[in-house]
Amino acid sequence: MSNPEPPAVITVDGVHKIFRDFWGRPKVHALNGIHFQVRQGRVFGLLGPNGSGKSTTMKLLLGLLRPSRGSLKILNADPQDVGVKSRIGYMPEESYLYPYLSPDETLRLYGQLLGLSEHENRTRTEELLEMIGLTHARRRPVGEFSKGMARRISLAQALLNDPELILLDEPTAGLDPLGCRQFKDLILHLARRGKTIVLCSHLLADVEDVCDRIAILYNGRICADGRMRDLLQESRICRLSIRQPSPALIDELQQTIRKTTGQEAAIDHPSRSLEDLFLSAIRSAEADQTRPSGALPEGRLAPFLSGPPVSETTPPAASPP
Amino acid sequence: MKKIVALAVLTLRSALNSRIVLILGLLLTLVLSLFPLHLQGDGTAPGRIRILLEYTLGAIVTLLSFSIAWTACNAVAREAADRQLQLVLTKPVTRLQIWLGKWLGLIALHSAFLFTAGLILYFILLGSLPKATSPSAKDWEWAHYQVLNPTTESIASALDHRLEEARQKGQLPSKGPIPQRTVNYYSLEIRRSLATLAPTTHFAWSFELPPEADKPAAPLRLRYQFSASRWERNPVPLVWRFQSSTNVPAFVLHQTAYAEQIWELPLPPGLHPGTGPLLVTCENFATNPPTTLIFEPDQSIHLLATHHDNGLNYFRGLLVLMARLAFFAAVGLTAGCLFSTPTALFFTLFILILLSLGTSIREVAESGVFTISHEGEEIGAGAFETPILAVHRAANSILDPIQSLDVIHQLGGQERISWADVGRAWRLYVALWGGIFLLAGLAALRRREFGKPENL
Ligand SMILES: Nc1ncnc2c1ncn2[C@@H]1O[C@H](COP(=O)(O)OP(=O)(O)O)[C@@H](O)[C@H]1O
Ligand SMILES: [Mg+2]
Repeated sequence: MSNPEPPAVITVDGVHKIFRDFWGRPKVHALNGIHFQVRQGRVFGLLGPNGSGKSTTMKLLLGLLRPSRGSLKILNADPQDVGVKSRIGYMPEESYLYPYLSPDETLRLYGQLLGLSEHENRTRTEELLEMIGLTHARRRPVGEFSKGMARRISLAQALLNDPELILLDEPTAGLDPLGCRQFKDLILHLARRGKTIVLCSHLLADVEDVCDRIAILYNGRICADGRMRDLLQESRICRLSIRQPSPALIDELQQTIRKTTGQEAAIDHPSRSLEDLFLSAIRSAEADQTRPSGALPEGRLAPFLSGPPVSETTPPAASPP
Repeated sequence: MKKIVALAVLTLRSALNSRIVLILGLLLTLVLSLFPLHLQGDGTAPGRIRILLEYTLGAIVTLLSFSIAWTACNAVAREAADRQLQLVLTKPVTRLQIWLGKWLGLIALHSAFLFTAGLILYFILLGSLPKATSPSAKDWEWAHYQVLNPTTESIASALDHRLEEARQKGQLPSKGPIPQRTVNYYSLEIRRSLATLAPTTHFAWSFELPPEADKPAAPLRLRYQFSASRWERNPVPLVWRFQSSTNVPAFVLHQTAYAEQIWELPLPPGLHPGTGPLLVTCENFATNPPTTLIFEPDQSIHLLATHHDNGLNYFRGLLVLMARLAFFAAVGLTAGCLFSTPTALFFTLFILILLSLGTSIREVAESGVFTISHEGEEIGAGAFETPILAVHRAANSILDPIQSLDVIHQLGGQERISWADVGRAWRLYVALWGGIFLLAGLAALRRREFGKPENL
């Protein structure tokens, strides 16, 4: 495969962020000269422990903070550029919603701010409410919602403009495991449609399942980055999986390995991840019971988000400057 | 534009959601239901109009001013603290749209309150006016007046002369500049002496009237007040003479009047042909005992042009008050862009209070901080006084034009508020000061980082 690299959507170049107090004295050196690029159509994961500067990076990209040093480009524009915001979706770490607005009103408001036409706004609001499974609560004020419900609205408002770049700050925090899985499916689906996604998280499982590139932040520095596959693969070790092998077969295999390589092969039973177990238990329970309230309805996707996938071999056209 | 409207509606919703609007509505209802019952006035229609409008409308506007200042402070400061502003700022909206949207939302809400309360008050007033003593009295009792001042004579040369004289007599230093308050003192003395009427003398004021001032259906009225050299209970005989420059014979009116009271004389229609000055002469016939009369310059004599479109006049008054509220909204909003809620509130209330201190600031600005005299000699401005005076002068030059728009007092005094007054109020409050605060607010919004971290 000799694909030309797709164009960079985000460029972060030597960015420092120092938070200062009222008198201008430095308080926290939150980012310490970070560099990275995110190319179009990629799912990029920003990993790191709490307080490592993930959210700060996001906010710098959105122009909510200004770098102390270094430069950032987003969709070929300065983060302070208002025009470029109509092509970005952002889901903050906590829900920054107006507690007195209902989901309906919230989405309509952000639709208006995004400059959607009245008709578009109405249909997209409808479809997104359907997708996040909150049609039944559409008239209740958001202030009364549980965290997970508020997160769903937060997600919906990030998708209203069908953005080409989506920034998600700890997207799965507050979601139940089923919601998490559906969320990850959604991300993969959006990625197939050629959207660029940046998500940051300290939950490794989330990142592992969806990202194709990651950067690990620690104390405001990037200490590892690259393709997920390259970073995770231990290419010198190989694992064989066999369904219900007889003890005799295992014995024989071990003897062969010992004879040819002189090594002792390690034998264990792969365990499912807790997530898999949880999900299969829920699914079998769901078969004869009503859906737990507030869960994301299986497989439903807002129609305006379900465009055709972008094929691997044709890199998406460069975004206009 | 659509985005501004969306933000305005959002601001309205957020204000409606807070308790303050509920409390405001309750207080307004209380004011509107209690004040008219308790404020009866002196039994005359003008008295009723004055007391009802000055107190009730005054209370309404004070309530609305505090409410708009409070909600405006919160509009940005609260949303910044609660981080809702962060999400709004990630949408394609400019800072200008945010500021304007919030401003318009605040103005819309409070104007709705102002005009509703104003309308109710107007009907309460209409329904509770005392019966007029005669049908003709009703015409002027329920009317409003444009106050016309006599043209002030140039006293520049007389003043120069008087100051020179004082220098020669050694009352003033022979060289160097003369302090402004000394100049003011002498000019007042000259103008007072001009309108001081010894027995059997007379004085004439010249009025430049607008062409429509003297209408057949709404003739002019004369309003005057004087002081007398004798403080006695007997009235003073006066002769008033009214003459326009054309060859119409003068209209003459004999009157006996007490000193220190405000007198109003209805004049016959057709005194003024529409152009040229109207000369008003007063002759003092108080010879037994001989009494000298003093007409204070600028405040002792006016002609009143009568108008009957009271509803419209009242509406114009409300428009001026609306401009004032818009100004407070701008102050509060920008304070909220600059500071967090408590500081912003403090700042806004400070401005509100500063505006109500306008008169005392003016006094200091005009007559100095200390008026200590040492053995007849005035102590000049010391090192301490100079900066204080400068601050007061600067504050006064800002506050004075704002102060001069005292609509509630004007409405209470049945004075006419012209469209020009409305225009002046909007230019001053909204275009000038609103604009200044808008620019400051935008600069603050642009400079300030709103990306507060979570969980703080
Ligand atoms: N607005 C701010 N003012 C002061 N310190 C901040 C601010 N925002 C973030 N920080 C600090 O910067 C560091 C990184 O924070 P953040 O980016 O939120 O971490 P995380 O990786 O958990 O998202 C933390 O030490 C945090 O306290
Ligand atoms: Mg974070």
